[in-house]
Amino acid sequence: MKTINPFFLLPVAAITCPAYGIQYLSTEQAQQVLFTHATQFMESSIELTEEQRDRIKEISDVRQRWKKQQAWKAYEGDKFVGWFIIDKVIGKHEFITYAAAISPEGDVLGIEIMDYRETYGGEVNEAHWKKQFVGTTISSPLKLTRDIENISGATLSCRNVTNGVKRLLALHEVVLK
Amino acid sequence: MILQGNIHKRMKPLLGTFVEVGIVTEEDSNAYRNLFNQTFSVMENMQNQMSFHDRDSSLSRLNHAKGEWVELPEDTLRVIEYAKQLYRQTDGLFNCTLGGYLVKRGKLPDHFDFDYQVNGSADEIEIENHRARLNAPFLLTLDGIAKGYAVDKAVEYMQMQGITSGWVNAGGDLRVFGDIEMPVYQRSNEGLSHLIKLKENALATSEVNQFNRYDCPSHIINNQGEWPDDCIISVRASQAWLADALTKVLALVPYAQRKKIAGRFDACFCQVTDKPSIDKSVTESKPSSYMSQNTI
Repeated sequence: MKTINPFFLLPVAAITCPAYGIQYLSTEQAQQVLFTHATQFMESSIELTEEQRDRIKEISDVRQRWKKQQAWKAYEGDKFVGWFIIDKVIGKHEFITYAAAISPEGDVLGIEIMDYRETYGGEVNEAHWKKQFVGTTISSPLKLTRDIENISGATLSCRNVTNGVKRLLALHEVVLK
Repeated sequence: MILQGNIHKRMKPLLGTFVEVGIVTEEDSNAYRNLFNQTFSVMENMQNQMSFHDRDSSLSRLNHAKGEWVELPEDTLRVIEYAKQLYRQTDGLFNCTLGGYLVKRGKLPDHFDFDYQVNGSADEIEIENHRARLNAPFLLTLDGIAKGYAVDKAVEYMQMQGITSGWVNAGGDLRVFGDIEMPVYQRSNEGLSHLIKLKENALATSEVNQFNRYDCPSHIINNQGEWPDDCIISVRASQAWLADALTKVLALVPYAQRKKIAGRFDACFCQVTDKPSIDKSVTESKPSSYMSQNTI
């Protein structure tokens, strides 16, 4: 019997509001997944003015919370093939970092969840839970000595990411086009 | 025995929720990039076929056909056939013809310019060769079964590609295969509780919550459009479509009958084995009056 554990407790201050989470992809891995043929990624983070943030809210109906948006321009040789943008959204239980690939024309080419964390109280503080979590990344080899753990709950809506992408498309319209 | 291996996982927003695909192999993740992409594509294809929200889906074509025959993809027909079987086997408790109720209540989108019934009978769905038709003007919704079916298709695809151990978790519709065992915890407003150890099986969870929580997309009603009492139902079954569908059935029957009815399908009504820990930050928050919907 192989038993493994895909949940990793993040080293956060976790006394009253513990979180556990999973890193699915690093920045480099997400870039490779979303722009398979890209040969270069040029960091081009975006600084937004108040007016631009207001305009983004107006177009997307979603508030642009932060002034700086992490972004890279993807190239295949000399050809600009799209934007790679890292964004964060917060749901009722979950805190999510995701990457979006947006074409130069403003079409969504793909979305990947990079990091997913859920927050709960109580039992995550307990020794039983803590023992099961291993601080590592997804690409690290694991000794298969532990159980996989998973959560089955009422389905969570992914509306928060959908709204995040709407906001990024508005950002593209306002700033990147 | 201690075995060495790598776990590779990816997650995407899909099927109206977050879908995680995981595999256990000896190789590095780059070898599996295409496999992950294709596995997600398989599920996306199911979404495109069976989404009620999408005006252009196969399901929507059938709902708009006003009783005419509609050619449908094999998977859509299979899911409709499963839904018809379950309707008969559960004396109508599993009813995929209640789309009208959900549209009238704003739980599903209204892209219909004709009068429709709020409910109907699955016996009035006719299937013949590669096509189907609705013999009454109700609206078919496959929300209660299609997400589980998409999970089964993803597992089937991975196994065809030679993956021996892995899992797919579509926001609680979970299937595990191969030589791994997965303890599962049930999420509720009160925290997490140990539920079951899952091996070579599927598990689905649905919740009825009178406050229509914003982040809880499922919506279970009976044939008269009434909500059952609040509950969280988890069902273990051999396949995810069956587990998914049976959660809706068990939510509609009294507690005392749930175990027996699940047993008729070689399935198991699962209950938590420890007390949930209380997360006051969750239980004290005001429930939202808004409910989102599955996109499939």
